[in-house]
Amino acid sequence: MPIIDIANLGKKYRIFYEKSSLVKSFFAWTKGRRIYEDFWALKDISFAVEKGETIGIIGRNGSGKTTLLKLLAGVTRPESGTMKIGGFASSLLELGTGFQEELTGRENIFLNGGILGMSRKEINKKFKDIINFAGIGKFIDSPMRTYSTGMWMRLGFSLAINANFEILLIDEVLAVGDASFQKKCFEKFNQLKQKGATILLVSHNLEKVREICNRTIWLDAGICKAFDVTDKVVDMYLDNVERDAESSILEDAKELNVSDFLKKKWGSKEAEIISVYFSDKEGMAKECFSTDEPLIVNIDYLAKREIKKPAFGFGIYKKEGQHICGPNTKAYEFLIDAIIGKGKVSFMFEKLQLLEGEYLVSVSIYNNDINHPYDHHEKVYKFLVAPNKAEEQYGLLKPTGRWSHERI
Amino acid sequence: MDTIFFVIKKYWDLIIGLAVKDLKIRYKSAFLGFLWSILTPMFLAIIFFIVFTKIIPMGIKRYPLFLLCALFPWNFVQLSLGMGTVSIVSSGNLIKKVYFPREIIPISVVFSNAYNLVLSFLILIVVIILSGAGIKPTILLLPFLIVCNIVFTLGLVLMCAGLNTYYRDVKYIVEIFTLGWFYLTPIFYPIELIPQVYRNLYVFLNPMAMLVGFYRDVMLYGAWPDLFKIGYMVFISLAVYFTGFLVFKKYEPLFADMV
Repeated sequence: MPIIDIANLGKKYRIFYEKSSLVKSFFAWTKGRRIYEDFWALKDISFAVEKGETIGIIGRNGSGKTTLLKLLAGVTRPESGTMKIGGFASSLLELGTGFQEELTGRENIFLNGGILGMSRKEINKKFKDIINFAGIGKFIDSPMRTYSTGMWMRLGFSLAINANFEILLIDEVLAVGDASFQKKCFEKFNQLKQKGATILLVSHNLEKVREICNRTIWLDAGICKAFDVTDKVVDMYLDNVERDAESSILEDAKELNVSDFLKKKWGSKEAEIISVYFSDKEGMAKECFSTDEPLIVNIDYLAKREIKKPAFGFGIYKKEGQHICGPNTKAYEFLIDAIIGKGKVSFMFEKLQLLEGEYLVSVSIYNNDINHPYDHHEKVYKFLVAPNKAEEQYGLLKPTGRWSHERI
Repeated sequence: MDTIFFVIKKYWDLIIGLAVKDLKIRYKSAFLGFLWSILTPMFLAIIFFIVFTKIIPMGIKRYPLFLLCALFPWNFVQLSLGMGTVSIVSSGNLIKKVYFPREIIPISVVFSNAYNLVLSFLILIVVIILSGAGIKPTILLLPFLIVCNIVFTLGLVLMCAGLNTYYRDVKYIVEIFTLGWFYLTPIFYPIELIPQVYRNLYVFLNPMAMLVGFYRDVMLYGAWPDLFKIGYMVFISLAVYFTGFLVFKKYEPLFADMV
């Protein structure tokens, strides 16, 4: 008997053109006008997982990986198809989601343990294990706002793996955290595997997927492209990513650039931006920052042929449209000799000067003269700067500088 | 149907945990802390006291006690509705990430306010004794009234919380509605001001008016409430609760996609 048995599963999202209100939907209804559009995030997915298996889930951004995990976790309901799950699923969709920063670590363990389905008694029994794995030590009775990001994450992870579950769902949490924490996580996974837990792991880290998953699902635009032995699926996926890139070069040559402008992405695609994310100093990806915090812009690229002296750059815009800055490698006299294959370019703001707001980011790879785009993503990425609690400031920046005062 | 009470029983630890968290965070940085939940109705009572004994004399004996007997339960309903209606939407982050029975969130909001309600009545009992009014044996009914009050409020809160995830207008409707409801309930005036002929119909249509009357009867006047009315109160509380729960459950599958 498989522990997860899914047949023809589909999930539809209704995308409203605007936020619905009673009045609007009433008028739309009387006029027979639709105020929404349907979007199938997953379509016709069927697969079965045996108890004790470790399954990888791979695919590009927006291919439905997280939606699949949410369905398995019971967070959202499927639109069609059947889903048989023979055990309690604990989800690591995000580490430490429910933690309250005003409560102490101890209080949070009891509160969130309860949310994950543990009774007070069980938590008491596992309490030592939870704090030992997290390495929180004497901070256990301090409010969680005093915790570092690392401690916060470790506690979230430790709590989730100590919950009662037959199935563990993990979404990209391994991309975050420092090396030693990741190592600890993988050791724990191996222990859990030996105990017979079933694990489903969403990851962009294909090497890790090869290492720990015996079978892998490849999702593409909501459809299950393949479900087979990991090595086979990962190879197919890599092959496809490359072929896709090549065919898009041909298409680009044919098509007029106008439609590309509408798509917000253009370029000859000899080198491609695979993913862009923002992270803190430890390399932990996040979207929300505070003023004065370090911020690293990470650009993962794939160069299909050798490209000499490429120029990487990005631009930051206020959501309202104002262009704030646009550093590139050339302007900073940072020379990259040549690129081929995969790599990563990053830029670190040691102390983010931007004030509260929503920021859009364009990222691009150009030739050395900056007149030929290999790949340009116009305002596709986004990060937030949280309001500063202590002091209110107006304008765009908190400039670095020093005040002084003397009496004359 | 049996799952409704089952949820409260099964997740008791978690509901109480969330309610305690709620109370801790709510008054955390306020200097007077928990006292505010008592001070707010007290302050309102002082204003009504000045208005209705000095400016428009109403001629009611022990007017402050008369007021507080109704203001505390009202405050409980109003706060629970206000916080409960938005509770699902404001826990969006959690709802999108973890599965647990969603009704726990609004239920815990009501429970955290219920804790304040019970404390307020304990203080009120002390005040009644100190004022020399004396406690009547009818006070034995107080716990029963509080339970009715909670069950009734749970139903309203579940309904509004469920609907509000779908139509954010609900929050504003609730605000206007509670404002009107306050004046239409005999809180700062006696039920006797309503013409005798309509009085019965009035309390049947507005269960809060009936409940407030009960509170005054058992706390101040030592009168045993009418058995038929008590039966009606139990019925209406349960009816509102079940309706609220069903509405909530109807919308629940959409929560993670709507918040």
